[in-house]
Amino acid sequence: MTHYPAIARSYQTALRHRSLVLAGLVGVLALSVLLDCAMGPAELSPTTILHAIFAPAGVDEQTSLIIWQIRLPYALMAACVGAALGLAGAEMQTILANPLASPFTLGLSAAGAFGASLAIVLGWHVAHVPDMWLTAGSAFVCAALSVWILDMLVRLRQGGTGTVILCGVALVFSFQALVALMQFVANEDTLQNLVFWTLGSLTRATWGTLGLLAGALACILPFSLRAAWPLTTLRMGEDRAASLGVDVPRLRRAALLRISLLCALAVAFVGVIGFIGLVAPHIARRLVGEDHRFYLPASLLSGAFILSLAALVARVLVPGVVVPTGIVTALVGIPFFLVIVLRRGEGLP
Amino acid sequence: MTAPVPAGLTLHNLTVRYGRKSVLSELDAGPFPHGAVCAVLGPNGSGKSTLLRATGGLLHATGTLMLDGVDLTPLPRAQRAQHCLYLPQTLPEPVRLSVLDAMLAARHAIGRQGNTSTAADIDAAMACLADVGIAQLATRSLHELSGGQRQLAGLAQALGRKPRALLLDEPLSALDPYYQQTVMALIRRETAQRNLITLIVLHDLNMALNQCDLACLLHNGHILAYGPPAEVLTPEHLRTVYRIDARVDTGRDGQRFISTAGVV
Repeated sequence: MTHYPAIARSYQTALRHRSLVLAGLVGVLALSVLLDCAMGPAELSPTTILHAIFAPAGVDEQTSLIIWQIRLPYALMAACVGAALGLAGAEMQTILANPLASPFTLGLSAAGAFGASLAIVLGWHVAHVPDMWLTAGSAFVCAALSVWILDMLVRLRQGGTGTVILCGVALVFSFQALVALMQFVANEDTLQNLVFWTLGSLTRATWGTLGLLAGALACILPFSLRAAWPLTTLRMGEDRAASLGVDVPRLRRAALLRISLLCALAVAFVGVIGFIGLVAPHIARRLVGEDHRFYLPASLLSGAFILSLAALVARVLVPGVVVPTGIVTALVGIPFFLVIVLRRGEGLP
Repeated sequence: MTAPVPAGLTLHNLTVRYGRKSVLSELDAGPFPHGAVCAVLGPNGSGKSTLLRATGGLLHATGTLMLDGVDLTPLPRAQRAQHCLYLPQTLPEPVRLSVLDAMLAARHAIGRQGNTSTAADIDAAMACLADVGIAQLATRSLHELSGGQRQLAGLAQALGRKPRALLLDEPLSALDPYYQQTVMALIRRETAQRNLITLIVLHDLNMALNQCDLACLLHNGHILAYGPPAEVLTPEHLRTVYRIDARVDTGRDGQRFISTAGVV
């Protein structure tokens, strides 16, 4: 058999290059989380912050409180939600074979917000279960339902890319109308609570919600990565993947389950945050290509980085006021997205 | 003494339904021998694709499918694809994936095979790319390649899985004449070299007549004729199946060609 050492070497170089890109993303993410901690009314130097995080004994109580109770949960929540949306968007674009697919554009976020608002407005309580869990559970059920409806519609019509988007848009408007209806029937107190979901805000992040989301992400990521090869094959066409022996319906179902879990948790804790799930996969594709072993983590990290950046901007935009993050993601994400897409003068991949 | 195991691919009693409509009913076909390229012919909607997809395990079908004396019907899809590989009509999508990555993805799509090292995987993938003549494109991304080159990459992916039977659904229809000839010559050569059972859906009757070893003519979901192309593609059969008024001539170099005078 002929050997191809030169090709093997260049392949290894390419793999190393992609790993380096991932490492670089981790680096900028860490930096932006740190910056996120540094910004705010109380001026804290980077060294103080590092001290407070890694050697809490050495700093005064007030600083420690600011960092641990306010800034760190906020900054980490931004990163985690961004990661969840980035991963969900990446898987969604692959299994629906559509570059416009994302939790936001296809109605998952709206469905999740509807689920959360149901739980809030109807004031569901179950003994010994925190309200937070009920809200998250309700958001999950609705998000999963919307994904399932979407998948069914697409399957029924044997739809191409157009059908997916049209069905998704129909879902977005349906669920937005339902959320508006919930707002209409809600009383003053719950209304305020509801506005929070629809605008998307990170300010209510607690260690509890953060832990839950990070835990879910840590559980789901290995399954996503295990499906990396079949998902890569799926990118070359559904028939082709099937003909190579991939059980496409099963792969799709598993991915949809992961996507709805990720989106539902993200929506349940911070509300509707758009564009991250759409933008992150495109950035990842530009950075590392479509080998899903790298594409999935790259999209996760890009999502985390952009939302972290958006969270930072949300706090420094108007001094003393935290602008809802959902508003900022669009303002930060879209120009970023345009630059990346238009840079090489190509259309959407 | 036991009877020798019949070699080749044989379909027996194959029935495929879409809802209530049966596209193929109780179809018997074959035996398709090793080392021969067999053209699967018929007008649009005659069930050519369905036949291949059902054989490749992409559609649910009843009946038996014997490959070298073993019934493949009860096997799960992943295992079945190891023996009998269907190649869809659409070209590989132009995605940001290098040709080599695409080869490796196809190789690992149903789990990593054996304990081979990455270097060995690369050598095997490169050998297949060299076989189809695109080794120099290994590091190029699929989205930069022409349709013909992507078809070759798709074919290399299929060969890399080392199937015993290769089912090609109109592999030439999206290609220009240069690539049609290139791909067809390649299919003939690899079929002979690897002793494959190759079924190929074609619309180009002259290609079937001159470059295939066998032809199988489908008409309304059953097989009207099966045998050497010259015996299958007769004016009578073409009239019945394609509803065309055609003539078969022999050129000076022995090549046969079909000329069509019109529809009947």
